Amino acid sequence: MGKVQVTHLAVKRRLAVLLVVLAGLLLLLVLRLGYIQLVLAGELEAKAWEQWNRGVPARAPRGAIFDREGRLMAGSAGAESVVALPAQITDKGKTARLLAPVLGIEEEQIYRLVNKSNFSVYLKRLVDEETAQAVRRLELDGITFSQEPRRFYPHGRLASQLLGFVGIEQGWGGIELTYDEELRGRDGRIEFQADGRGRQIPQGIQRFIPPEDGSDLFLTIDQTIQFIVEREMDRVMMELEPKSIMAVALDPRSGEVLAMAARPDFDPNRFAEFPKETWQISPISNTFEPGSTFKLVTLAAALEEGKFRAEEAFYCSGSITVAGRRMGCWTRYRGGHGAIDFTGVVLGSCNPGFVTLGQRIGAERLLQYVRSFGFGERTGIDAPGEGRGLLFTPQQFGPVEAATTTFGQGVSVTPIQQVAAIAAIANGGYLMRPYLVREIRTREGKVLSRKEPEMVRRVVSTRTAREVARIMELVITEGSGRNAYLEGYTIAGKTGTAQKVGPGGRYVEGEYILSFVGFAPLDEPRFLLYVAVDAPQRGPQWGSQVSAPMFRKIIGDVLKYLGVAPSRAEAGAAPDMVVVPDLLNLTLAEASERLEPAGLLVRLVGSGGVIRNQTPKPGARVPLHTQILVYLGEGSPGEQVTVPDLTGKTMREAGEVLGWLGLQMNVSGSGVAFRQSPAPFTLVEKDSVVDVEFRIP
Amino acid sequence: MFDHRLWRNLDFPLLLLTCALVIVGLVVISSATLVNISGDQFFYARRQAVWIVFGFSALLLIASIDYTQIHRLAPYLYVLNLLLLLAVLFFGREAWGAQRWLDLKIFNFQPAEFAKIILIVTLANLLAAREGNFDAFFSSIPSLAHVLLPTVLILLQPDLDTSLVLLVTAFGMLFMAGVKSRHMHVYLLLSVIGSVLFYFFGLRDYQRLRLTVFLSPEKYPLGPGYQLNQSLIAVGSGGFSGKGLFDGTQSQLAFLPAQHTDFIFSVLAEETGFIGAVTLLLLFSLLIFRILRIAAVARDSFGTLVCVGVAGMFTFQLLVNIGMAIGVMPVAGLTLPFVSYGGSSLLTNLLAVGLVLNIGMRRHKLMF
Repeated sequence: MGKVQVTHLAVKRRLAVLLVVLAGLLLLLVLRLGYIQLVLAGELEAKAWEQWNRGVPARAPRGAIFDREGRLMAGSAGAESVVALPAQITDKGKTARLLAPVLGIEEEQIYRLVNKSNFSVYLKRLVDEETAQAVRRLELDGITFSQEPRRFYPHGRLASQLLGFVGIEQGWGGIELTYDEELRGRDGRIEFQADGRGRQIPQGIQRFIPPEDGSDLFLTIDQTIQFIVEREMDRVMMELEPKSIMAVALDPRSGEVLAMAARPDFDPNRFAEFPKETWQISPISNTFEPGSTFKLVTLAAALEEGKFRAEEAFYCSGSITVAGRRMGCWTRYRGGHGAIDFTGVVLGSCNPGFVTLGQRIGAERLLQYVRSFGFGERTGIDAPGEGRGLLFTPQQFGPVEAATTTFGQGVSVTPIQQVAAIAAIANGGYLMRPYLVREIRTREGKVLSRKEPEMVRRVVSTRTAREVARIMELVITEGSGRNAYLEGYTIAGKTGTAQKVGPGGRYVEGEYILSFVGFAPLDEPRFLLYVAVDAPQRGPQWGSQVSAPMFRKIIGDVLKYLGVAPSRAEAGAAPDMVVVPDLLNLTLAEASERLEPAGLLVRLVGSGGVIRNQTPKPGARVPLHTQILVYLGEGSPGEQVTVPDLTGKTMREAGEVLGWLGLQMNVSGSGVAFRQSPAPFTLVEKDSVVDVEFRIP
Repeated sequence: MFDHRLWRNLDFPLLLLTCALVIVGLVVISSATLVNISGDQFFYARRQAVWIVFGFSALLLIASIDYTQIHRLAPYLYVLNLLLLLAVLFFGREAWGAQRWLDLKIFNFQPAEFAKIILIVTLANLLAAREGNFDAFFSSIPSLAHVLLPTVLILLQPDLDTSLVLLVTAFGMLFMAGVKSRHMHVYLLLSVIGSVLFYFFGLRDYQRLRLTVFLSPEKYPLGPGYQLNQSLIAVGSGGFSGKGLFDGTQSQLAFLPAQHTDFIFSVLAEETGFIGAVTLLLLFSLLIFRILRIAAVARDSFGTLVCVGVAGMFTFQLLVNIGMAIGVMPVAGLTLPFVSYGGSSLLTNLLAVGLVLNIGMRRHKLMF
């Protein structure tokens, strides 16, 4: 019996152990339950709600973008996609069989798709209206449609940076970004309750929240002007191979931007294939030293302050000393402009002359004018990424800083700031805020908002503005802007040659931004154009040779398009004839001074420092804007000669250049030269033959 | 054979607790299967009700036979058990990738469920006969072999979960039979080593994933973690007082898979909240407490061991099933005793309770 007793005690003890273990485990379960049901409850409840309220989005079509004449620039094709809700399809085999011929997809493929466990699957995206109708007629359960707007830009690259593009259901640049909210509208939803298998619950609440269409934008841009501007930019890109080009066209009366573009550009239909840098609207984001264009601000300030008298004499010795620092004029290599008057200061872009004007105005007043013209602050244009530029602060603004500011150095500005400032001169002294969107309308055409021209402030008097414009016209007819002269029209303009500032804050040797800004007609300016060409790889880096002719071509076509008739007095007159100056043995800088007032274009061959030959010959009378071909060489031609780079030359030009050097040409093809042998800069014997291939560009 | 005086010793609380759990089960099953493919709202509830009636009849029947006579049947029961399990392997109906059912024309029958109760009885018989002789390490080897044979047959179906129930139940019974603690520790160690080896070499990748997915269900929201995520959402969204019977969105809208069988607890927790879930746990605790109480007062070791085996079986299934629903245990195909839908398992559980009641009724030698 004793043994039984022991066993029984052992049983009781072991039972107690079991009970304790059991109680402990159950307690753990209760704790875990409490954590889930009391602590996590809210979060998990939200998840549950989400699961049974599923919505099928009904996309709102994105609004279109039109130019000022109502021509489409960006649109959305409202195509429909065929969507299957597998759980709601009763007979999958039949569904696949009926849909296959209509959608043009293999029956097995449809069958596979409708058997997926997804809530919804796309059977075919973006079908045409006819197909959609045919599918509707089949009246199949669980087959539905979703509206899927697809963005397209009918003109491809035209105004690409300005328009921007649409990334994943959102504008990603340009106007598409700035006006994303207006364009986007609001997606609607079809809400119904669904169970774990995605079946619609019969008694579940159904609600249709209709999509709100995006609004349409009407731009200030004129598509034709935009096209003319971009066409010229492409031509210059090809001919001179600059790093980039920027252009802005504006109606100076209202501040409406008529065209704005940059090169290199991109195609918004395939934006991902282009580098991100090409997406930027560089005319509003880039900042650089304005150079001579800024002299117009100094001139306007001096006039307004009564410190400028056109006939007052001025002597330029080639430099001026301000607070112990010598500042050179670009003519210092020949001892300066010499004795001129203040009109001559402007026409000759004389730095000491402008410094003198600045000193008369006074540093403080000058800075006030600069700020008043809108520099140092954003113009507030309705596009993303605008730069602010940089001015000296009043504390920094000593006599030296004031002096460099007068001729546009030591400050950085954006093209759009320059455009707005010159527009104030063109329109009689009002700084207008530039803008891109004139009107926002509903799809039905109801005007939601209309932007009126906005004056930021009055900058100078109308008299001052008119006087500056008059002097700017002289720049065209007599000065460095002669290459922008357009027969029959009165144009005001100014070239600018700005040195580029590198990353370290130092000037980049040999690279310039060549700009030209001007407006027409002079009496009642309707069109203002700014072009800037960054570091052309071919030809001389002078504004007069690069940006002025480009300006002339654009403004000529635009004025014709705008219906501005040439003045009658000029229209019938014979073309101006000019005498070709003697350029032999001159350096390029010296040559530019003779060519610019003459209104002649130059084409360079060779890489030397001195002009060795020219065509036409000195003294010949040629029409305005004729091209002068010059050859740059080292010393006197010996037995060995360097093969010139003939790329881009016409057959006649190439023949002429090779003739000067005593080389023979072997021609193939026609058009302009694009390949040659031996390669440029090879040393060859005189009388060697150079094979040149031509092709139509 | 049957004496009225025995009824005075009937453990009414245990019987009432069993009834309560079965009724809770029936209500939750009705709710969970309100929407089903048959179109009849109460298709599952009605079938479960039939099983309940059948099961209680069996319970009363088993309670009325003198359990002390059952040990004579033990060898036959054991052989029958093995035959049934073999039959499943050869003639079983395949479902969900495993052969577990025998088609008996009227209903499908799951021998593995009955194997649990049969093993409890035969093992108790074996251990009781050898009581007090467990001093030598090898003395428990025959018992182990006795357990492993049916376990392996079930594992071959394959039904890992039920074979684990068998092992854990047997472990508890060995412990109670007086096998020395250090021997138990050796078994425990061997089990751990065996499990680890089995995990790495005996399982396929998907099976391993199924065992470990509960540690990070959010990584597999649609695949292996789907059930678990849906269960957690169901339990958690029930909150303190639940969404109300028949109003659980998770279970009513078919987000929960196996909602009337393995995940029945999630439905209960969603619809009756923390209060309902804790109440259910309380009912189970009391039930197991009553069973262990009978184990303590049983007339002989056979009775004690059967009770402990039944308690162990219930406890293990309970822990694994609820643990799975709330994400602390691997997803396993074990039912929640009395509550889950399913005839074989309900019948087994009621038979087990019948046995325990039987043992409780005959705790004293009756004086005639």
